[in-house]
Amino acid sequence: MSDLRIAVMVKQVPDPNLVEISEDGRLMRENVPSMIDPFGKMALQHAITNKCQHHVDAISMGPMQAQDVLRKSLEFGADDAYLISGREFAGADTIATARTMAAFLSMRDYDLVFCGMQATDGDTAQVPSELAVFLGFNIYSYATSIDLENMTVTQSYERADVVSKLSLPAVITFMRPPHGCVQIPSMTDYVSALKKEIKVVGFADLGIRMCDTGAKGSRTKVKSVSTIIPKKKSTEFIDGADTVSAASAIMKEVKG
Amino acid sequence: MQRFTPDPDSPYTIDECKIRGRADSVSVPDDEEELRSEIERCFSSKTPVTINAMRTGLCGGGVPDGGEVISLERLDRIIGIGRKEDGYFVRVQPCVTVRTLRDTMLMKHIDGLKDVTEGACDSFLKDQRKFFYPVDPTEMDSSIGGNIAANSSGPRTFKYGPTRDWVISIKVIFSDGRTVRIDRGKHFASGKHFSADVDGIHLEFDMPSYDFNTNVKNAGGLYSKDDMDLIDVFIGSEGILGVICEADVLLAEWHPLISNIAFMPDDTSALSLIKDVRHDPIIAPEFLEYFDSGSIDLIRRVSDSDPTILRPPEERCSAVFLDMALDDTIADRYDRLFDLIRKNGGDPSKSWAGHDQDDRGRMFEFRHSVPKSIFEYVASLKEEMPALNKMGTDMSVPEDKSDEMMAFYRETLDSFGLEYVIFGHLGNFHPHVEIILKDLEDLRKAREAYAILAQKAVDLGGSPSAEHGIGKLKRDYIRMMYGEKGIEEIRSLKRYFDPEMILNRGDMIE
Repeated sequence: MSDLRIAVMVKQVPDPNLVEISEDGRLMRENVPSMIDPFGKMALQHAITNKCQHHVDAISMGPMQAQDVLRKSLEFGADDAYLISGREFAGADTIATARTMAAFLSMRDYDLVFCGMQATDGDTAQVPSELAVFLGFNIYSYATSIDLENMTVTQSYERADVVSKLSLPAVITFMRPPHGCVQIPSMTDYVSALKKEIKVVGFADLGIRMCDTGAKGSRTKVKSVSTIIPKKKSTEFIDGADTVSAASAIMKEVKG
Repeated sequence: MQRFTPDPDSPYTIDECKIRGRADSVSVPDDEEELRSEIERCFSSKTPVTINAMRTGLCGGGVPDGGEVISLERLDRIIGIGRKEDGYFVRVQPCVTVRTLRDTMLMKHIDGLKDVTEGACDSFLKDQRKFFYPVDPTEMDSSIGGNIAANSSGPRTFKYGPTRDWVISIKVIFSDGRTVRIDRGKHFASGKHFSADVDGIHLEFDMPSYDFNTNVKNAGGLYSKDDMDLIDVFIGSEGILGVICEADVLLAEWHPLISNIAFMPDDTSALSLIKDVRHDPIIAPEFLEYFDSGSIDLIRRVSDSDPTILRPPEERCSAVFLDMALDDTIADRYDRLFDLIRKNGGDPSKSWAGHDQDDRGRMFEFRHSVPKSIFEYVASLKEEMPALNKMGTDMSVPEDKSDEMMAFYRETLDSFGLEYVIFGHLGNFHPHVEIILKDLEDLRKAREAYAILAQKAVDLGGSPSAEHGIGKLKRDYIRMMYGEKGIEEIRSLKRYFDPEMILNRGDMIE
């Protein structure tokens, strides 16, 4: 497949090794160095490793400081970078974030949207699937590798890796970096990035309603955050070779 | 003050050269006054004293040969900040580490520090600029006192010079407990003769007649120059003349850097790139190191077992590591650097550039994995062969002799059939040649080869000890550099300051 348009969603997060959580469950970001989210960086590394003749855009939503992660993405070899930023977007939960980003992505005709499987600050892992819904794209979650020549994607399930034919357009979430990937920007990519501008996209550019974005477009509100100590649970695996008997075994369990 | 008898495997009787010494007792003073009275007590009882701080030395300087160890580990406070001209200096106790000093100053975490000059702390906090202590001896957990005693240097010496250039005042306790503060610029020798009144003490003595080699990076023996400053007698003296219990060190203005690793097809092309880059006014490198193809092979093997270490390209290559200032002229610097990399057969698109903390940290780990893996390798063989120790060179030569010395390293070590890697500070013509020993026969051969290499460095106008000092391991090279006369002059000066010859006995001279 040639000349694909790939969007990579990257997020600026506080360094998870240094950030602390306040008593009311808020991440205390003040004076904590920020960084590109590690899972988003993996998505970027997959895009760059498979770049060839394809076009890769790095996209982030956040305050103006988030330009740092886009600058970093350009240094890693992304072609262009866009920051969705404005006070109207502040306080967005996952659904409002996904609606906003989908509004931008739908304007630019992407074939593939690469995301990290989750971000290390919120850890919800909801945005990529919501994006797929709003864009009407297929979704391939927990990918470990992608082959854009043969259009296959490998996803990691608990006990097996599944290789699927990639059907475009699609959102793909990555859980691990590609083997032998770029780990430090090359000198030439660094210098190219110096000459590139990061384009800032505001509320007026997106054609969305106020009630669909930011705090107003959010359906959830964090009341508190606490650490959960998981209870011990037992898992029974049902052999799925015979789907009819597997389904009846599940029904029996559910009905008791 | 804590005092105890050390176990046979006590950490107080070994340093990073991995040679084990012995001591009858260890004392750990809580403050300067306790340190002084302990030194006085040892003087009265004529007990040999070995001073310990972080024990990161590589020549056995802190390894005792009987007597008492005095550990300075509790004298680890940053005392205060002073203003000097347009910049600042910091007053420290001897066991403050380079890392602590650097981080504290860069982050301006100066709560509780005193004003050494009026209003200095307030001015430092309000200053928009950032400041740091620029001497980087590679071992960031080494102590400032140890650094001063050894006149430490490292990869950043290329830009900032050695420790000596950053020390403006020291407080020294002599072996009989008398204490003086010596400020730079106050007392000078007339020729090689000193006659000075310092803090009510009259000092009158002659420096060794040799001329200390400052044409190359040099940490071999006492500094001795005509009309020299009194403070320089003690900087680099390895603690044989007195114990440094406090020091004022200058800070440099900080600026962001970008680190680069240029992968080159082979050793010749990497060395040629270094030559081109070293004095280039546009690139103006602040750090310049070389890694031969053997070093890169070693890093590749380390990254096989430790995925946190960056993996070099799969094809055989050498590398040049350089830092540049990250400012408005950076694009011009890269234009020039790309030209030079291509001219020497390299490819900038396969070389690395990183400026944020994460990338630069990983590049530093990549670089550091060479000496670190060799240390670990030697330590792993130590149980089976206790006599084995690390054999790495620390020799510098003048610029125009650099090629000749590099060829001589390979020729000599190949003729002994030894395996080795060459890496390090080519900015100062001071690579480290690490001999990879497999058994005691290799050790015997390496010692023989080392003596030949050291003699060659001296013959070429260089130093057999560029930055690690002499300690107990390299005493033979003092004879090589200064002859019997020089040794006797050093001994005579030591006897002036330390008449019972108790301080750091066995270091620099027997």
